[in-house]
Amino acid sequence: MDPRPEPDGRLAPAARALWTIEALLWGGPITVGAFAVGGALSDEHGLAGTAGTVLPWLVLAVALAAIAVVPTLRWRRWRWRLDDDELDLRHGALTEIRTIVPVARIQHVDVRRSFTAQIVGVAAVVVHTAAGTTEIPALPDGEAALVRDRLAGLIRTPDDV
Amino acid sequence: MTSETHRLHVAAAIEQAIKALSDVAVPLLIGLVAGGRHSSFSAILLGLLGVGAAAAIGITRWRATTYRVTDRALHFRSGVFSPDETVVPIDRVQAVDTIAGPIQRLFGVSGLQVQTSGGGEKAEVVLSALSDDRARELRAALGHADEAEQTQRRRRLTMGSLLVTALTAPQLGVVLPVVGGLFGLLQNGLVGQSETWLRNVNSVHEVVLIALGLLLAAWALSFAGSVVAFSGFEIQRADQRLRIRRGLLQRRAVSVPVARVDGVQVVESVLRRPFGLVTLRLELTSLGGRETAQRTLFPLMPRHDVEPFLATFLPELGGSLALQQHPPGRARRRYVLRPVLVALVPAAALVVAVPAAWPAAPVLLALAVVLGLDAFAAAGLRLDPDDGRVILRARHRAARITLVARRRRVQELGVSRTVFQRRAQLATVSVAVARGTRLAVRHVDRPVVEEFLVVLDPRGQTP
Repeated sequence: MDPRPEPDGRLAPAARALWTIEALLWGGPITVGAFAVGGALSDEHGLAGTAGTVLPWLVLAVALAAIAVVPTLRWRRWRWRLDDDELDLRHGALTEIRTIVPVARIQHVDVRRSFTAQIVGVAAVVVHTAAGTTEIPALPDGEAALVRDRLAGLIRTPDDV
Repeated sequence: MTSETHRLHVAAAIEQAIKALSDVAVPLLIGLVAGGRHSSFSAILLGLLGVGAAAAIGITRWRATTYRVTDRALHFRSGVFSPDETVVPIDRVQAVDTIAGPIQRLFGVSGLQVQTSGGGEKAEVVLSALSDDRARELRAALGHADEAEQTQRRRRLTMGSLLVTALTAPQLGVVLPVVGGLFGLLQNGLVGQSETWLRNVNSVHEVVLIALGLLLAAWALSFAGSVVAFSGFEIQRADQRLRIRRGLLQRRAVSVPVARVDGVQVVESVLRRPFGLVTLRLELTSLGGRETAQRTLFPLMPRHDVEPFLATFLPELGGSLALQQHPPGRARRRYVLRPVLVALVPAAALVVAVPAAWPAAPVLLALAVVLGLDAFAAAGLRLDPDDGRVILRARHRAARITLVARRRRVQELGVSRTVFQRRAQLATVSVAVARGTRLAVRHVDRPVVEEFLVVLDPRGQTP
């Protein structure tokens, strides 16, 4: 058998925008909250005061990373491949994770579009097996539909094992 | 083919009545106590009324519950005010379990649970009481006849094994937090009490006694639970089916088509492993969501019995369990490092909080080293391209688990590499089977990863 090709499909470039928006949605409020709490604390003396001064900036740094750096890193590392027998995913910057789902085990496929995903015009393909779900988080709308249709054509009923 | 409508056996009415009575038991008791204050007469009246109402409910529900078998489907109707009709196509029936609780056994009848492939954890249709003839008739109509075929392949759990099973049932990971929590609760409660109380209890002696008492209580509970679940455990292998019977109060007979078995887990829990004892569990897509007891293939056997047992009862998954691939020697320190790091935190906290207890810190660290070395020794795989199985072994939540899975049934493969692993050319491989049972072997060498990906390549496995 020929060696398995490495996954080479990429996510939609708009995935970066999607993740940035999502990070803004949680990172913004948390940062504002941290500064509010920090401001109240910094009048105190001792440990609480120091924490009140330092922590909001730490939160800001994490939020900035999540908004500005992580989406690009994540997008750059994501690869996927689908053939007649398997769905092969590889992603993760610090920990690289490769997941292979045999097509014969797939029970059904969803295309999921969150509100933010609709704004940037991407969709997630979610694959369900008896053991759980696996997803390609952001493909261009049209491609997601193609992947779904291709998988739907490949899936056999779970009974002919 | 019968197409007439049947009712359940009358025992079902009694079961329903008792269920109804237990539903209103609390308000009824309150009523009884409150009523009894005025006169015993009104209390008796209220009690009679409650029992009468429960009996009426039971009978009404029983009368409203009917079933009918056509040559294509089982039609089940139940519900008094809004009757539901469930239709189960016969070719979708996965399993028909027999369950007989105390009431059913009193009447010499049994209940049937009809499971389909799509369903969740609950059975699609529960026929709570059927006479033996009816049950046999229905089983035959559903294509799950209880073949009378005699098989030599059977094994019972002996009384001695049952007791050992029950004694070793508590999983330390479950018992210890419970005991700890209870103990903490108790102490908090005591702190709230008067000072003298606290001073009395605080003697180390009593604290130890209380802890021991709680531990014993938890143990007794799990002991009783296991005896109830596994009494009279018996497994039989018929032609294409495994038949498992068990239970003290509620007798269950489950029949599993061998073709549905995706794998077997050999579990060596902390309390059993020192004695060389293991539990076997079934990995099934269709029964995966059920409680652990229901997935038990055999509750207790010596480790060296596993291979002959599988050869007899599940030759489809039989064969050597010897591992062929192990993590390389350079992985050893990685296995040790993690528990040591985890142990460092409580050890440091202990030394800071109670400096006098410093000798506990090195003990804790030594224990972590031993645990790490043990996890290293436990880890391994059997990736034999000529074998229809794949075997992974690892320590998972304190137990040593060997997962024997049919290669073609693996649901998901995983290979992950942390930054550190990448530098050392190591990776963690994992498989998921059935309803999401996952087992990972950490820090295996690159060639083993390649082999893992080739042996489990779905492209080579299409039937």
